Formats: sequence, C-alpha cells, structure tokens
Amino acid sequence: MLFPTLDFALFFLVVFGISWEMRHRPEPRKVFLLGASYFFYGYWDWRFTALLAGSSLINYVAGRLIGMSANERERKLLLGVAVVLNLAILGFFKYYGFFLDQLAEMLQTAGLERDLPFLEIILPVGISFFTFQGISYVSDVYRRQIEAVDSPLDVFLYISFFPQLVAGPIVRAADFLPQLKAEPRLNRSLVSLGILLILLGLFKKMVIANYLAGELVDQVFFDPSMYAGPDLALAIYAYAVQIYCDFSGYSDIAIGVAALLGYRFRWNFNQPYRAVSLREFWRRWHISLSQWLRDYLYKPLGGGRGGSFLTYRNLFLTMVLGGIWHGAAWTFVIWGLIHGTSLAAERLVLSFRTAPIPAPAMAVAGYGSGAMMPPERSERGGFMSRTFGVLVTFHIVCLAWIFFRAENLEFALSYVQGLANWSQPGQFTSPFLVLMVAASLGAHFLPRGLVIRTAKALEGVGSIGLGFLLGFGILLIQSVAPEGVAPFIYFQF
Amino acid sequence: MSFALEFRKKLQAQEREVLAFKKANEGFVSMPAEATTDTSNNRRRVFLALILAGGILATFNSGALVNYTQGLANNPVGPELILASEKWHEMMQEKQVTRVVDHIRGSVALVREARWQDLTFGLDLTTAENPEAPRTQPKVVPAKLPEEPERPQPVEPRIAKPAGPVMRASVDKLP
Repeated sequence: MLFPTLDFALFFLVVFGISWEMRHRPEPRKVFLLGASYFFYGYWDWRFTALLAGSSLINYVAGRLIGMSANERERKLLLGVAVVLNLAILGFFKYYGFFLDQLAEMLQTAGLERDLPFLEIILPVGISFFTFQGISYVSDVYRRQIEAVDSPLDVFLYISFFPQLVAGPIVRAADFLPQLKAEPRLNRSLVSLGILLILLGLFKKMVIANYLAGELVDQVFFDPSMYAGPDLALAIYAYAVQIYCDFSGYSDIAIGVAALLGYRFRWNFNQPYRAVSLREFWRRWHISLSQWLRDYLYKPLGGGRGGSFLTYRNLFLTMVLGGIWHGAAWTFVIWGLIHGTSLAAERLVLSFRTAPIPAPAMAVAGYGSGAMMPPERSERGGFMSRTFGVLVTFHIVCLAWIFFRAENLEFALSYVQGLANWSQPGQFTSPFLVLMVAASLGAHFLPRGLVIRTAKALEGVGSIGLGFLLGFGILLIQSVAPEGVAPFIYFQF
Repeated sequence: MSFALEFRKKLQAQEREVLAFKKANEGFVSMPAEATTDTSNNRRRVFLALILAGGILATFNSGALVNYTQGLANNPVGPELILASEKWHEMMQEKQVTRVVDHIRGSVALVREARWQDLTFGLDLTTAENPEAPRTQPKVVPAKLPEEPERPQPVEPRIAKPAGPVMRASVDKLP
C-alpha cells in the first residue's frame, strides 16, 4: 500500500479510529496494530507476510536466548547465528540473481558454460529495513543496551509497525519498545507536527519528486549519450533533489503517521545539501541508516580505535558495504567507493588542521515533545569557507548520484563524459524545471527548526481549522501534482 | 510553621514523582486524568479533521473518486460504487465546485510550458530597440535570446524507474 493513495487514507482512518478506542487496553491495541501492519504489508503481496513473521520470530527467539544466557561465548554464538540468519534471508532475495549472473559470466569466459539454477526472485518490499531492525534488536540485547523482551507481540510489532515498515526510518528497539509499554498519548504538539509532516511529505513526493522524475531525470538517464552538458548537469542536480524529496518525503509521512498514532520516531533527514563536509552530510542524510552503519558495522570493524590506517580502512569498508546494501550492481559499489574514498580523504585533510576535529558522533534527536529535531551543530569557519565546503560536498555527492541512478556502468561513464560537452544548448532547461531544482536546493538553507516552529503555531488550531488545512492542502497537492502514483525509490532497497 | 508545611508538601510531591517514575519503569503507565482527557480531545479533534478533509476532497476532487471506484470494477459492490461516484461527480460538476481543481491544473500547465522568453516580469521586451531603457533590463530579459532547439513534447510523468537495473522486477510488482 502506498502512502499517497485513497486506499491508504481509508486504511489509516480505520486504524486511527479503532486504535485510539483501544488505548486503555494495551495488549489488544498492540494485536490490532500488528494485524493492521500485516494487512498493510500483505496488501502488496500477502505471501511475504510469512517472511516478515519468520524474520520477527528468528529475532524474538534469538533475543530471548541471548537474554537468558549468562555465558559470554554462548551469547556471542547466538548473536552470530541470528545475524547470519538475517543476512542469509536478505542475501538470498537481494543478491542471489547477481551472484549467479557473475558466476555464469565467469564460467562463460573460462569456456565452462553450465546450466545454473536461475530463479525468478521478487524482492520483498522493505526487506532491508526490517532485517536491519531485527539485527539492531538482537545486537542491542547482546550488548546489554536493552533487555530481551518477553512478549513476542512487542518484537513482532516493533519489526512490522506499518509507518516505517517498507522504507524506514530504521527505528531502534531502545526507542520504540519503551513506547509500547506506556499508554499512548496524543497531545497537541504531536497532532500539529503529524499533520504538517504528512502534508510536507506529500508535497515533496507527489509534486517535486514526481515532476522531476517524469519530466527530466528518467528521460536523461534513459540514454545519457543523447544529451549535452547543460541537460546532464541539470538532470543530476534534479536527481539529487528528486531522491531527497522522494525519500525524505516518505520519512516525513512515516513520522507524521506514527505521531498521530501516539509514537515518536527520530528525524531521518536534516537539510543534507547544506552540509559543509561529507561527514556532516552523513549526519544529515538518512540519519537512521548512517547511525545503523556506524553502530553495527563501523564500530564492530574497529571504528577509529586502531590507528589511522585502520580508521581509514573501516571508513572505506563501511561505505562500500553501504553501497552494496543498496543493490547488487557495480554502480552501487562505485557509489560506495566514491563516498568511502572522499570521506577518508576529507578526514586526512582535516587531520592536518591545527583545530581539533569535531567529534564524529552522529546528531541524535531528543525524545521530548518539542525535541524531535536533531540538535543544532555549529558550522565553523567563515562564510567563504563554508560556501566552498557546501559546493564541494554537494558536487561530490552529485557525482556519486550519477553512479547510483545510472542503469549500468556504461551509462554512468557516458554520463560523466557527456558533462564535459557544452557545445549544444539544453533541451530541458525550462524555467519550470530550473526553478523547481533551484528552489528545492534553496530550501535547504531555510532556518532550521522552521517545521517545528510552524507546528507550534498550529497547536492552537481547532478541528475545523485542521480539517481545512489538511483537506485543502491535499487538494492543492493533488491538483498541482502530475497524474498517477509513483512508488518510492527506496521501496526497492 | 508555614515553612514546615511547605517543606512537607514539597517532600510529598517529590515522593509522588518518584512513585510515578518507578511505576513508569515497571511497565504500563497509568496516565493522570488530565492527560487522558487531553488525549481524548485530540483524538476527537484529529478524527473530525480527517473526516472534514475527506469531505473537502470528495467535493472538490470528485473526479478522483470516479477513478478510484473504476479500479474496483471486479469487486461485488464495484458497479454500484462506480454508479454512485459518477452520480456524485456529475452533481459536483453541475454545482461547478470541480472547477477549482481544473483551474489550478490549467495554471500549472501554463507554468510548465512557459519558456524563458515568456518570463518578462512585466518588463518591456524591446530593450534592444530602446537605448533609453535601464541597463539592468537586458540582464533580466535579453532582447534576443538564442534560438532554443526544438523541445520534445512534454511527456506525462511516468512511474519512477528504479535506480539500478537489478530491482526493477520488484518495483514493477508494486500496486
């Protein structure tokens, strides 16, 4: 089920009404929300609900066993088994075809052609997200950061809760499970923030992302060799905006929907293209994944503990593996390589500075009613150096996006080559598209906390006012947006 | 005396807070009465807002309802729903409330098709022939823009393609 559809609107109306009626009975409410989440997931393909249940069961049992065991070796072994099982499920659906393709090519090159067991595998929507949440839960239990949960209902609901199920944000067990224990509350700040984020997310996705995809990005990336520099440059800026609006739009709606049900999620994006360095970019882009990679990949690899060489290696490996996570294709590997190399180079350059490097800790959102925004970070340096940093960072990110979006490596290289050819004027450089890209990038420099402040201003609005805001807001979005409902880019990951 | 009373009251309040904190950590938290009322009020507030928003959309964008019900043609009650939505849509058209959406779509179409030459911002385009014109004008709207190559016809935005070739099958499968 997609968020910007009438199906979802009807579904949410029913879930909202019934779940709040059940607020005094926590266990039945959880059962109801779990059923609603499985319905939401099964609406796409009901067969995969078994996979979701299987994954949840593995993590629940592993969590219980780890929690009960006092023997460190046994706990480690159990954690290893749970992680391997989770990754095996993910690997089978995501990489089986890719590895078989590569194997077939290798055998063909060596003159040893064989009939390989190719399968028509459909990638279940959101498999990476619920797998990551499962790994996060068992790892946190192993590290004794949280207690193993007795009730399977809590673990099943944590992994399958529908607002974040198919495209994140990746919610931490330590954040969500305690919320299941408390009676849900709906205060004015959650209501106004929820409605505002839903409208903002719909606008980002249905208007900006869909227009840029349909009128520019898809056409240019379909065959980059047909276009010259101006179109290619505009298309890559447009893709940077499209993927941001698509993904952060989904996150906004997810956070808003969860807020209306009485649950708080952390922010997943924080004006990423205003980052002055790549490290800052990763503190602002897909924050839940960055933190996940930091805590469950970078740190277990050794993090920054083993000297400079090992730190660079870990940084590099984390980004390359992050690239492979996005999909089994060389383009994603190169995307990871660009980020890994650039991050390592940036760290090296910064290490020569006399001033201490800011702590690498990620910005962590608070959990107070008005503190869902990541804390402000001081951007050091003068205006010129900050501007330079923003421009360089943005263009490195854009270069990586070319490989991320291109159909294959050949197309990506042709795209990069074409960027040098400015002999022809642009075909797509219409005011509509240029201004849309410019305004969307410019919006990154609006004051931080504007959403929170606007939500605060809406707290006093009554039900009629909220109804008008929501109704006419969605009406305007529907009228302005192009026809049709496009799936979110991150559904495929 | 009053100081002792105040101190005692303060102590009792602190004890209550500690008790509530302990209770919260034990498991399910029972909410204070005012929080329960607040939640009930806000629940009602949002529910009414959702219903009102649905009403606004059904009134001003009744065409979307027809599109939606047509997708339910294979449903046992599909034909009745289609008939009802069409009747509703006709009624809204008669009352001319659907013109709002048509008007916005028309305006957006104009903006989409606009070219740089169209953006005059109310300025005189004959700058080249008018030496008296302020020097800033040509910068905003050049008198003679280089001829633009033939643009392809605007294509209706289609379903976003996946970023990589590998996952396409899964995206195509989406409803």
